[in-house]
Amino acid sequence: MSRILLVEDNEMNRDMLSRRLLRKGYEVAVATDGGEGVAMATSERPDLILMDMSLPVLNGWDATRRLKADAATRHIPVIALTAHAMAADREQALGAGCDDYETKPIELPRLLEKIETLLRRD
Amino acid sequence: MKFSTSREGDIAVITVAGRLSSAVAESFQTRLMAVLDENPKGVVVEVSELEFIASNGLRALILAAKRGHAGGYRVHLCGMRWQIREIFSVSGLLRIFPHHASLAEGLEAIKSPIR
Amino acid sequence: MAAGAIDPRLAAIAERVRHVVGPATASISASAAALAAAPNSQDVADEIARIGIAAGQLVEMVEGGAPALGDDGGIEAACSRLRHDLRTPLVALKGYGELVLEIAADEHLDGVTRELGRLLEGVAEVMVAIERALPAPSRAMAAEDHGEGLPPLHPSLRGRILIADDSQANRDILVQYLGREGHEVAAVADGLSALDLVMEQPFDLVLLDMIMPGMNGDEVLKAIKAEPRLRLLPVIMISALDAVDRIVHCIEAGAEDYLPKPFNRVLLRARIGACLEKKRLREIELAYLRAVESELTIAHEVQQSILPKGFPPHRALAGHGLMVPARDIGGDFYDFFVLDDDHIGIALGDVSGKGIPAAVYMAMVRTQLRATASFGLAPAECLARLNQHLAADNPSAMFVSLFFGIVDCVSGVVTYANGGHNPPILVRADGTTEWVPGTGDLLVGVLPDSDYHEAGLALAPGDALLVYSDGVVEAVGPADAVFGEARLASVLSGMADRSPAALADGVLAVVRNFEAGQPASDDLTCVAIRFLGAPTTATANSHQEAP
Repeated sequence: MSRILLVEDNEMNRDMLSRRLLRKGYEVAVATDGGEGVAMATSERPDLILMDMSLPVLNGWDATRRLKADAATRHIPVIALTAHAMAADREQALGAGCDDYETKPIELPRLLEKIETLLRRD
Repeated sequence: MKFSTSREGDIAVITVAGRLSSAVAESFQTRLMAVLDENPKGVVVEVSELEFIASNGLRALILAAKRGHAGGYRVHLCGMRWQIREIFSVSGLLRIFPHHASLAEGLEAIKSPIR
Repeated sequence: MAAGAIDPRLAAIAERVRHVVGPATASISASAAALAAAPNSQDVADEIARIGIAAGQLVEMVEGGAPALGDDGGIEAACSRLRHDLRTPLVALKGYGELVLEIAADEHLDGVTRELGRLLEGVAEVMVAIERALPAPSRAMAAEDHGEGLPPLHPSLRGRILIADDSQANRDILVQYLGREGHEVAAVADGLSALDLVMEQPFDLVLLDMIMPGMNGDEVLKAIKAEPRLRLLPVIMISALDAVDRIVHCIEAGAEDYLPKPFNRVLLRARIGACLEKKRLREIELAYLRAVESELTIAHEVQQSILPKGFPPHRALAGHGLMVPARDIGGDFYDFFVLDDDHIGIALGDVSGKGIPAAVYMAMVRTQLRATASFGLAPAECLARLNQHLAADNPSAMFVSLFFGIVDCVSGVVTYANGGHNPPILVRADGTTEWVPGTGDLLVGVLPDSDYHEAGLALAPGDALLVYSDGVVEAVGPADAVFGEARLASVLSGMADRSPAALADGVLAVVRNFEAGQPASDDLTCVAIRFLGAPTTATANSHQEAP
């Protein structure tokens, strides 16, 4: 069973998305800020990370950069969850090393396809 | 059409084979002139494998002969097949191009010219 | 909210939001309330409560006052924040709405399902309304204004671009960005409008979203490619990264390329640039081909205009000329002209080269020859003069092989000179053939001061003479067989009794037959004359015929 780490500071979003993923058969771990996200990724080595971009403590871009710079976590695919649908934000996300992105509100079927593609890749 | 060049000392040897149709005549002329740009002391064109030559091909050779006239050499033709020889004969061009049965004879003629 | 006067622009924005987004928001509130009251809703009470809260937040923001100007200054930044804030409850509404929908489906909570459907529709409507009220400013472009942008495009690389995308946000990004690059941009929101526009106005490029309401991107693509005059119009598909199969399908259907969303400026510029460039090159190529065609047409017209219109009528001499040009206009010409009551000049030549230069040279030769001949000069002298004239200033080394004879219509003697041309053939009345000896002279126009010699041949009544170009004897048939002189002679001896016209046509027919469908690479030209003799000698002569 694939394990997904969800890094999201908004409680409602966290609750709603993790429940939906659980219902689809994934194991879900959650972190509530960027720092916690990096720590948990390092210690738990999830199969995939869903990273909200605007986070307290350490924002999503910086968190992703850290993870991609670390040999231990570099291979873990990261999907950015962005609130904005604007070019600059996407460029930034992909530039930070994210493997893919999704804009909120999430289209779950599309997100699931992306998750599956990235999980299959490795 | 196949075009290749080599050198026998100061003499440029050009081998032309196949069909020199008007389609390839321009390319032939360009490459021929490039050889002449190197200011050889003599020029031999080996045509034993040449099957056909269009009027543009003749033109290129005439141009070469004119340059040769200015540069102090003549353009020799070697090994003409009978169809090619016919063309040169009927057109009167045999007078302008010294011709020989083989490349060896042509080179010999250039190196030791008989007055 | 800052105390004091509210910035009127911000007030206007707030009003706009209320006006545009308000109605859809109201419908969400209604749905949320209906949900709470629906049967079986207790099983998902928590989630429905959260939906209710999110709906309330949304209403508050929409109905609320004007956004505040922050430290980052600027209306754009304030709008951007408002947009973000408005979307936040929507994320919750959609997320929980879909979650409850899944649970309701599993547990057969039908009353809830219906209301959820309405709620989610309302969410979609609000999202569109927000885009309309507050179009996403392109912050990427704002960064450019501070000198971080790509260098401006060269004017020749700009074009007219049509954008078809149902997302207002995408349209706006593209319109702004491409507009700044210097392109002329038009944008539509659905496939049908795109098709209509592209049919009636000229565009250099179409950016087509794959998924649109109504006609899909690939349907629009097919319709465009089916239209002959839009065949060269490049189409770039815009798609999310996950639609690889459909992208491949579109490229096979004729799309030039695809652009993934989100748009990457560098990629956008590169791919659009490449497309416009290719289109331009294709157009240049077409124009060039058209020009080549027209050059051939001109050459053909020149050639046709200098050919004589008919053999000069003479009681003692019949004749006919025929010239069938090869596609590339090979440089052949013929001429016959009256010199005086008893002398007719016959000429046939083949100019080196093809196309317009050959045609022009040909016209010059023909005019010069007629002029010198009309002074009463003998054929050899005519060729010598012509040669001097042509060889004098001849950097391109053009030349003409030329046969020129003067027929004495009383005696039947033909005095001729031959500058490097194929030897003509005599066809005696009894069917025997003889080659007319050449004079050993050089092609005309090659060397100044060349000598030209003369010779004569005697035609008895009923004898014919055929002058021809190498398009006849060098005609190539299947397996690279060459027609040759021998075949010509044998063919002619069987046609000895034919009129000049029939002779010439006969030669043409035999050559074409020999070629058996192979395309001719050279002009085919021949002139046939028959000496009829003086009226007193043409008594019981079975070879007498009208010219």
